[in-house]
Amino acid sequence: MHHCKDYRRIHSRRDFLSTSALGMGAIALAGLLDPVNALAATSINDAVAVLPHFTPRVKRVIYLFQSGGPSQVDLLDYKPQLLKYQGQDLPPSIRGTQRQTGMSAGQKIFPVVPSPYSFKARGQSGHMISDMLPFTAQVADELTIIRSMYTEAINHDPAATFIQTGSQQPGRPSIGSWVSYGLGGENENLPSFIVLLSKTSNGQPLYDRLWGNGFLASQHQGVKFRSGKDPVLYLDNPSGMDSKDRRRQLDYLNELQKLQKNEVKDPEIDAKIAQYEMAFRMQTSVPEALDVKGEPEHIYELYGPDSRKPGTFAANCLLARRLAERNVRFIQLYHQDWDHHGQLPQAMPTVCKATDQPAAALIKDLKQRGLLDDTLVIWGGEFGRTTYSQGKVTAESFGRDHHPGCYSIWMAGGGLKKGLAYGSTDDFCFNVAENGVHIHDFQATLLHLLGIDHERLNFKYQGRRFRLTDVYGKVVHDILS
Amino acid sequence: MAVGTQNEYLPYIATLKFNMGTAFRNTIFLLLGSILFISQFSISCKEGLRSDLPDKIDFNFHIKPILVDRCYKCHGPDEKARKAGLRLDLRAGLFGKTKSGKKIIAPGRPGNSELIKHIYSTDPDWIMPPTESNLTLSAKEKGMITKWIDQGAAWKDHWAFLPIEQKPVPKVSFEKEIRNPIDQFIGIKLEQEGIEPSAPADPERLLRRIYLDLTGLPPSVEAMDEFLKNPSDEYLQSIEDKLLQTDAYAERMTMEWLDVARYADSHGYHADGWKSMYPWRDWVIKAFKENMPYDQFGTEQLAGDLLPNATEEQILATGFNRNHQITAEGGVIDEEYRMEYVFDRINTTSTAFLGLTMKCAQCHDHKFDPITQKEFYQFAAFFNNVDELGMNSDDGNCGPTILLLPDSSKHQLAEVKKYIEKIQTDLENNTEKVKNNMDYLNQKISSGDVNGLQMRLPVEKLSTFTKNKNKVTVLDQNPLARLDGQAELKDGYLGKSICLENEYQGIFLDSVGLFDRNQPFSAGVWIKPEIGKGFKTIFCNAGDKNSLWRGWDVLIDTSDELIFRIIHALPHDQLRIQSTVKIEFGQWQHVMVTYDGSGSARGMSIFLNGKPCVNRIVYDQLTRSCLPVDGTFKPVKRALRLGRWNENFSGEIAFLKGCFDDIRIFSRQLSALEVASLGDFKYENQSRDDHNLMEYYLLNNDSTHRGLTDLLKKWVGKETSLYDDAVEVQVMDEDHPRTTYILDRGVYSEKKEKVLPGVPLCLQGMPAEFPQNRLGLARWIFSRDNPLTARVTVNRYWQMFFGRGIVATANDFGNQGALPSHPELLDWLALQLMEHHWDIKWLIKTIIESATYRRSSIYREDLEAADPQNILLARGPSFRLSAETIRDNALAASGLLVEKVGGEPVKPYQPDNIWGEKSFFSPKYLVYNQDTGANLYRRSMYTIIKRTSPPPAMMTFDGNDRSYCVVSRPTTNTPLQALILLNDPTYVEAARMLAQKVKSEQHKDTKELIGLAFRRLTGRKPNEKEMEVLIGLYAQEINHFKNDPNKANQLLSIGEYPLDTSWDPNELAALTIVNNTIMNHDESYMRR
Repeated sequence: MHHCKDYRRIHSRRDFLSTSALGMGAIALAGLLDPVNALAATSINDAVAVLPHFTPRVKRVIYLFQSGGPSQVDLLDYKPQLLKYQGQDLPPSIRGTQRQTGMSAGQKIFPVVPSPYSFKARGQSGHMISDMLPFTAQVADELTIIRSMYTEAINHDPAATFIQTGSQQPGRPSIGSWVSYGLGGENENLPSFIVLLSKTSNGQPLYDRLWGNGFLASQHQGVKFRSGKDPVLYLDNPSGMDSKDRRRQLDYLNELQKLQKNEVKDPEIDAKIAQYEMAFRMQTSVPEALDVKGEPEHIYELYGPDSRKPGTFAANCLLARRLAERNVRFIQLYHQDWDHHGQLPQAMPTVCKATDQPAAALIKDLKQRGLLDDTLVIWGGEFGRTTYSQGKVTAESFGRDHHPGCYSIWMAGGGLKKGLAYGSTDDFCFNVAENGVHIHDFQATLLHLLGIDHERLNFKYQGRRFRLTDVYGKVVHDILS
Repeated sequence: MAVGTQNEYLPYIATLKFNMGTAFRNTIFLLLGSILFISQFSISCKEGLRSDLPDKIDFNFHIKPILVDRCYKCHGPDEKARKAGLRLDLRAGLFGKTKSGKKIIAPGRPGNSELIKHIYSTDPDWIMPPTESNLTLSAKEKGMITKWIDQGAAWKDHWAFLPIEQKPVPKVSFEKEIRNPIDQFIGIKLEQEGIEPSAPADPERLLRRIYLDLTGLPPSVEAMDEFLKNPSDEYLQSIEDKLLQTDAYAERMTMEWLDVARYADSHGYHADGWKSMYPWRDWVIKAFKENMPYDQFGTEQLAGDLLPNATEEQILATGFNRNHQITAEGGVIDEEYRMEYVFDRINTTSTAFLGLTMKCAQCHDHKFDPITQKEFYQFAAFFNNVDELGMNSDDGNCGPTILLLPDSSKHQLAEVKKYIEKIQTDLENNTEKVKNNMDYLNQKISSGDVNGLQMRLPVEKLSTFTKNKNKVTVLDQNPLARLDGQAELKDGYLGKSICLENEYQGIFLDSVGLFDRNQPFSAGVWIKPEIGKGFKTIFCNAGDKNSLWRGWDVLIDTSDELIFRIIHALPHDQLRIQSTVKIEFGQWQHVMVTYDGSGSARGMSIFLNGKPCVNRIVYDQLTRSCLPVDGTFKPVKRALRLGRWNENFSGEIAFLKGCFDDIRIFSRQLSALEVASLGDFKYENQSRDDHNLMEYYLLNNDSTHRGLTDLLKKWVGKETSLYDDAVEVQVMDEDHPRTTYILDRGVYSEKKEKVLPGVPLCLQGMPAEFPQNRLGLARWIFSRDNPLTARVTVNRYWQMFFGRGIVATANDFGNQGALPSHPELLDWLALQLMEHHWDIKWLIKTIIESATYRRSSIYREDLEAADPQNILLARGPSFRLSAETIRDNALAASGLLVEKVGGEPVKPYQPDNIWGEKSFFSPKYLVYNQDTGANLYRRSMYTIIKRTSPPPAMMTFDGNDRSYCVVSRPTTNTPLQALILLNDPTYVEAARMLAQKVKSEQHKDTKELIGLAFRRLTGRKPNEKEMEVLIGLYAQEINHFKNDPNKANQLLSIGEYPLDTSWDPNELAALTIVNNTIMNHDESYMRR
């Protein structure tokens, strides 16, 4: 039996949200019982036991997911050449065979629209960044910008599902779940994978599956922290009950559970008692992590006025820093509202204002606390936007359709070449010109920074070993320091 | 299967490896090979054998799992991935030779086997599996393979594909109770292992086990008392028989099937909007209630629509294969998603009935099982003939559908149809009369503009005015005839015309053309179209995908023919005719359509240049309203457009470049003569034949005809509104035969070879006498010769009662799946099930009647080493209750449960804004409007499942978001589960209601109150020590609440069910805490 117990102990250290009744312990036991029959199960063991595969460069990830597809043309990929072609039909040679969405496929012409915004060289790095992102511009030298991201998916649901889970079709675990499964958490009072959603009034839908565990055990699913009084669903005691009352109740419950254990002898009861204690600790640790009251004035100023409003992207960036301080492994923010099919010039200032300062503040704040060196911060969406207008270009407005062919994201933190701009696009900002980074390459690189070999972190399900990067993906070593 | 008890991990060839390992690391293979070769290895090395290998190595149980897992990826069924031409999944391959002519396996001679040389090699060029695969073989696995070859390397075919054979029920010498053959199959293994089975469970736990397993609900206290008085076998049998007849039993069986059939109340992809599949769910409940034989249950769901004289219920059953996810995302390519739906049907059907992972063969040959990519697409051909769209509306059901009317409306509808038929006969008779009277020869003919003209635009003038600061350009000074964009007037057919140059231009006519299904109408225009890509719009007020394109339109299609459609919902509820003449480009032509309001495609006509076209009827099924609605299905006065469609999501702007002149819309059916007069005067004389004159007379001058058409309008309107109120359910049809192709890499557009319907050869293929469609497929699935279906089915039910299948991987009976722990038992049950005509109640009764099922589940230290997972079933099964059952148990115990069967999904308590924070799409599912009253307390299986935002408390307890077919749920144990049972208002309210309940039933002392609550929640009486703890807790809490009465009131205010104020709130609150504590007790959420 001691194998089993050892295994459990190791696991309870690694996994915050713990073991399963017929899960890990049982698998180890099955190994003793019939090693061959338990082969399928032991692959979990193989895949995880040796982690990390090599020295990690970062301990944690903060992923600022910009849902909807921010326009690279207007933000991070400077294309002065486009002015020459203003209003002209995008040459078919450039358009090539790229698939179009149903929304602009019927257009008879595809008029090129240069960005209405100015770009300037920023900092030592000389990163060309649009005036729409003045705060991001201030931290330019911390950023590694990838201008040659590309994907296969052209619509939101498959594209977001693709970059978050490695497959366009739902059903696979999300990046955060893979990381939780592979590395577990470092704070035993908080989940290893936490999700924060910004309150917006429109934008593309989000789906629970974007932070879902797929076929991994449910303790690896992202735990959504919400703004307001109940930050984790059902965390708060019922009204009329405070923490002391709860403690009293749990003490009696533990008594009952121990009596039951004596009778039915199921070791799972001990695990259950431990989970109740963990739940009790979470009732303190979660509000404490989210309690921003003690943050000094200059911090609020750093993140901007929205940071005082719970549920905004700014407030969530501040929370992300607090969670990073508490060693949460994977922190994922979602901001919707980047889907600018029409009225782009009208919509862009709003969404940039909501996200630019807080994202830059997060970099500065992590840096001043010495956390940036072992944190990976990612900013980016599921695809880019077309260089041509969707719909009519008027004096005041235009729109851009979804564009999988190229787009820009930035990363900052440990293990990266700071100030590097990697990859490039053609003059039209339509195709990758050099050093394309596919979704799977991005995922492989992310895992690599955490010390994980993306080809070795796998899970056997329905007769097949699955991994985040499917059967693809190359680590982009060029951006690593 | 031998159960090893030793823990030594010495390799099978330990001595050899030990001796040579360090010194000759790189030459180990050579040495090993030569020693093995030279010596009689099997004799000389016996001393060094691993002691943990089974005595007799079995290919299926011990060797194949290793080969499948480590070798098949490159040396398996997938032809394209195959390396070195070696195929180890077939007997001929495994026992064949390498390219250089060496034996891969030499039976009895490991040293002569190339396989052995490769797996023991440390040379990076030689070692198998290769380093880059990230796969390795353990020393023990290598030992196993070596020993197997040494023992003669006996091959066996894959167990699950072999026929199910009658196996003798083993004789067991146990003295313990043998209640039926299950116990003998289980007993023989226990006997072999020298394990004594546990005693029967105590009566209380056994009774609760049976109640929960059969109904998902706990026994009442009365039922417990009765049974404790008479815990006899006969009495228990009578209880079982009674429970098997209940609705609750049917609901419990349905619950499991809903996971398999991925039932949900929303579409799943993107907007994830509303649909109403619940009548299908209710069909399942009814089927279980009536104990429909499982082969019929499966056949009706797979192919009910193809059964001879299919009933409404049989068609409804096919909703099974329309439960899949559906997208409404604007911009997707229709065909791509349509194929996803086909793939999902394959995945669901093959997993649910066959336990096969066929989906793996979508992009390439299956890597582990003998299923080729071609066979996958042959299977796809069964599911590829549904007349469906890939992109659908945010909310609403997607065709094909069935309309379910309540019985009262059905009767009414029959009456209405009778009236309509009678009116139509009267109309025919009247026509006959008019024809004979020949009155029409004397009538006066006037121009067609007199009656029913809604709008006429000669298109002679453009003018501009300012409205709400916007510049509005109108035609002919008519404020209702707006122009979008800067189009210009040019010379027309009659004077001027308006010409559209690009897709940002169009003509919008407000307040005209809003015609319903029962409204006759006509519309005509002179056009001079130019050649261009795609469809071209002449008229339309249809085109909004979020109302499934409701409205009517007239288009030039890609073959230059004219289309006239009247649409409730695409693709299944519309009238559509198509002209066989083609339009001319660059020429002026007059296009006119007429409709008689009959609800039939025969009442539609298309005229070109005043001449009626010969039309093909493409669709003739319009049942419901075709008046435009918005995305929330509210009526909307959408303008009638010319030149451009209403749609911008499907890539179909349908722009007509060209000129328009003399636009006329009528709210009546014009006669051919009138159309001719509008179309081109030169046809006027020729068209004045008898038939045209008579038609003109009927439509303009005959009062009898007018009276009858007014009546027709009334009754067709009535018919429409009856259908409009029906519940719509997505079902299968076979009306749209398509050719199925192998799709390269599984990509929708990469069509390769054509294929015909078929099933995988590894399962002997489908007999030719079966129809080559879904019905044939269903017949094959349930045929006696199919080795999988009965095994898979029996296994799923076994899993339901034991927490684990005889095959642990209930979803995979293929090469990568687990092997059965009791193969003979599996086959015996499978065969018996078929012999009992797939009688599920027989199967369940047999399982629960067994002594094996009835044993005490208390853990045994003596089994911890030998069988910690309880695979041998020496003790009874115990497991955590499902998400649904945990909640249902609390509701039932507290007396809150509302036992209504079926109906629309319900919305019980859920934290605020769980839906709203993620999506702004799907108007119907924008906000989770929590129900009140009885719907808060329905069984959890009726809780609404919105796939992208499933009920969070259920998901925390391993519930299922129903994206895909799932045949077994994981069971996890997390702190979030504790938070739910402690804090979710559902449980706090139930604890309070349980306090009220026991108080109202038992007025005596605290001990009795607590004892009763404990029994209601856990199914047993608390023992002395437990009672002591609970009394202690109660005493604490009473004091606590007395000191702070406000807290009691706060606690008691949780939940919508009214508080019974006749009790002392402090006592009630204290009891609420006690009850909630019991809910969190192992015995409440576990089934032991």
